[in-house]
Amino acid sequence: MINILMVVFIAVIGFYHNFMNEHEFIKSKLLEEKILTAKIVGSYAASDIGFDNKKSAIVSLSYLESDESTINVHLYDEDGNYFISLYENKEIPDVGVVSAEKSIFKKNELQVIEPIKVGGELFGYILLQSSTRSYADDYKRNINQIISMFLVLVLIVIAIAGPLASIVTSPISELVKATKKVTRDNDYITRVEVKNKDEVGELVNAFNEMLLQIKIRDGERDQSDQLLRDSEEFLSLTLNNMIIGVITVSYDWKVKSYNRSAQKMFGYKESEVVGSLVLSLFADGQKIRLQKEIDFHHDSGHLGVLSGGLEMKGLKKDQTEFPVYMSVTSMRDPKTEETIFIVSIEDITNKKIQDEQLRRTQRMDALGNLTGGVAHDYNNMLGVILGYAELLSMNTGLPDKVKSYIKEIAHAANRASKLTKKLLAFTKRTSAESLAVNVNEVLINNKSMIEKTLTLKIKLEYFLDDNLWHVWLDAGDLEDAVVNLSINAMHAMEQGGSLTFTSQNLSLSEIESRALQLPAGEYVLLKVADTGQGMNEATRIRIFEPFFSTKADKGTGLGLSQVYGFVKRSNGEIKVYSEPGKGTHFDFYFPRYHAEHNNSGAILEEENIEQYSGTETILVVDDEPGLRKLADELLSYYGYSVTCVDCAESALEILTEERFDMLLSDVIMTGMDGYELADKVREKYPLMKVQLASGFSYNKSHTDSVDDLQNTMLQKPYRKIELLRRVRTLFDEG
Amino acid sequence: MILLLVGSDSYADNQEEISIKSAFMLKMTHFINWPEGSKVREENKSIFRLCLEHGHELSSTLTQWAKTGKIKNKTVEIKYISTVSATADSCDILYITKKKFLHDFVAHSKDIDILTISDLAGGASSGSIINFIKIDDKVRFEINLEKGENSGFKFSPRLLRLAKIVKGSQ
Repeated sequence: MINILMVVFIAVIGFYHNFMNEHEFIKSKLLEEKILTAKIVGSYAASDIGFDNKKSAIVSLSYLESDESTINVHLYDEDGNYFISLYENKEIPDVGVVSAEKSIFKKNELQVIEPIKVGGELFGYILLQSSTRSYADDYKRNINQIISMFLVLVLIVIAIAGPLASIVTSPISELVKATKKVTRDNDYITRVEVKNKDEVGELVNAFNEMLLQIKIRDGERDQSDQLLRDSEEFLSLTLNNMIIGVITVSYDWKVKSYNRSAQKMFGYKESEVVGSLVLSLFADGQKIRLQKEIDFHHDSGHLGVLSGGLEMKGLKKDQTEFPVYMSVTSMRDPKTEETIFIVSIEDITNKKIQDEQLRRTQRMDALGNLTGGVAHDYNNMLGVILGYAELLSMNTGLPDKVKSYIKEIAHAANRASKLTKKLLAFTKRTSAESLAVNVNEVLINNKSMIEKTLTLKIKLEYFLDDNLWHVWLDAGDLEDAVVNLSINAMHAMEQGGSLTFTSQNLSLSEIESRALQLPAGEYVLLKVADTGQGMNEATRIRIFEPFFSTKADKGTGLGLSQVYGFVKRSNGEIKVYSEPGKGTHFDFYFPRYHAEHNNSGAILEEENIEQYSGTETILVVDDEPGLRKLADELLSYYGYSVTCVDCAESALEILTEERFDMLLSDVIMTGMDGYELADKVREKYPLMKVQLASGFSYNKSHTDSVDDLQNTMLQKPYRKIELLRRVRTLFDEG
Repeated sequence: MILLLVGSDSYADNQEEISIKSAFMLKMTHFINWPEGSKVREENKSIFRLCLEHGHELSSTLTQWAKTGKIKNKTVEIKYISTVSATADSCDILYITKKKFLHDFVAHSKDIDILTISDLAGGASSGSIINFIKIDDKVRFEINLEKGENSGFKFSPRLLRLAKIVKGSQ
């Protein structure tokens, strides 16, 4: 409808314009005609005026009588004076001074004044009065025509406007529809069908091309947006998966962002922290240190690392403190130009615990070395005492009383030897008696003994895994440890309670094992838990130290240190959990043993010592003169030919001159040690047997030969039969 | 302007007649084309020669007019002559008021491209091309059309319409 009105409106304007043109045209045509008439008649009458002939002038003017539109015609002389009119009886119009050509349109009349010239000379003027009726008629006729045409046209327009408009507007409507679809659905795939090859068709083509270009550009933009999103997501993921807590802080030290690690550390959700002061995340005493960092930046305007690895105390949501390393860097936000601080927080709680454990381990190692050293010396002396006591007892001619004295000496020396053995058990050394052991078997075999130890007030419970893996350890040591723990439990539960032994298989992941300071892998876990009085932290951290005891005169202070030594020797770990009044748990972790083993423990029986005698030559090396001499006496007694030297260097020297079948050497000596000597001897004299003896744990870098020698090591103080059996066995191996 | 000089007494009447005749004579030139080959048709000739009998009554009026006016786009030169021979090759219009002079001129002059205008009773029929006459006390003129056309003059119908056409001696 608007289209039709528009067309009609345009038509009206067009017709009006046309009408006005027509009107002007008719008017000018009429004027032109009358001017021409006036000129012609004027020229006819020129001579009449010129020669003052009014009669002739009338004749000249009468030419116009036949023209119906002529109202009158008047002549004037060259000076503008009235000369004559066609119709004298009619009024002469007042046209002012007649002096120039002029035309005046009145209501129904046109007055034209034209000068009359001949050969360029003015003869006079003619005033022609014409009726404009014909013009009016033309005018009316034109109006009628125009109106008729207009009406016809309007009818035509109305008749064809719809279809015509639809031809034009249909593709435009399609375009509008497509545009709306594009705007609403971002659908740049839609296309408008090109129906015609006219201008509208070109417009539609251009529109389709535009959509294509937008689609291409959109695609490119989407791609780069996606890359950007991926990158942001990746960065966000990276940030949230970092172990350290990352907190971004604005210039006024308010938290802007807070990664997932920080959330875990502090216990606050991001929404609880963002916008609050970062100082609230630190313990009171630490805030001054943090403030110093702020002041430093404010004073210096320094950008970059402000502080690195500052040890602070963080404050969790539950108000507990925890140790952290804090690093602060500052940077300029590229968008806002504001200074941003990045606070990196590393939770060092575990590190602190590990440090403490390491410190304790080092202390235990130091104690072990000290204890081992003392025990070594005592062992040597006890070896001499025992050895000579044994030699004396072989003398059959002695009075019985003396024999009984010798027996007492040997007994006391044996007891002393056991004590030093306990001391040595604390130190780490590889036990020659380690075997593949099922912990359950040890527990079951010793159940009655443990029950006796615990008395009836204490209930003993076993929760054992039937499919428990084997472990590689000294079963005797394990028995000792179990008994030791039982004794301690009994003391801790004087009013009664229960002691529970639990065994289970355990696979430790990297993370789990790290917390336990063990390599990842498979373990047998033995839990020993009592319901006793428990202990405080100060006690707990010292219980494995030798001679540390809470039982005053009831204990030696060596029980748990012996247990500790045994666990370390077995490449295991022991953890203690205890609180006053809540009992104590000991968790033993022993590495699983895979290979098949002959589990039959060698049991020393009374043997015929004579079978170990021989005639081979033996070079004895020991820096302890008493032991040197004892070895010489014992071996010589059973037929061996013995030469003794006091150091490795002397041994090597004598070997250049003399051949021996065996080297029997102490390990710990001043100068070259037993291992080095053994290596050199094996290299130079490969047929020579080598046997080492030691009362002391000694960590040597592990080589095959060292392992071999360690496995066959004679433990000092050795008993006569142990020495002879070992020597003989070595010779007999071939 | 000439007509303004018209008076009411006899002198004035005479003067008016002089003016009218002078004006007529000048105006006639617009309705007459001179013969082919005549000096008037020569565009490079800038002088139109108007010959009067010496001491003619029109002379003062025409002399006055000739100072500014032009005939056939040429400057007008008033010449006074007393003999027919003096007209030879000297006049474009010859105004004759004396019968004898007209006779002599008709008899002797061979200049056929001189427009002769006389003011004599029976002038046109006596050999003048144009002759002033009076009809109803108004100055009118007669044209010896045959004479004029034979001499090569062309007359506008608008002039002929106002003239009395006469025939007469060549």
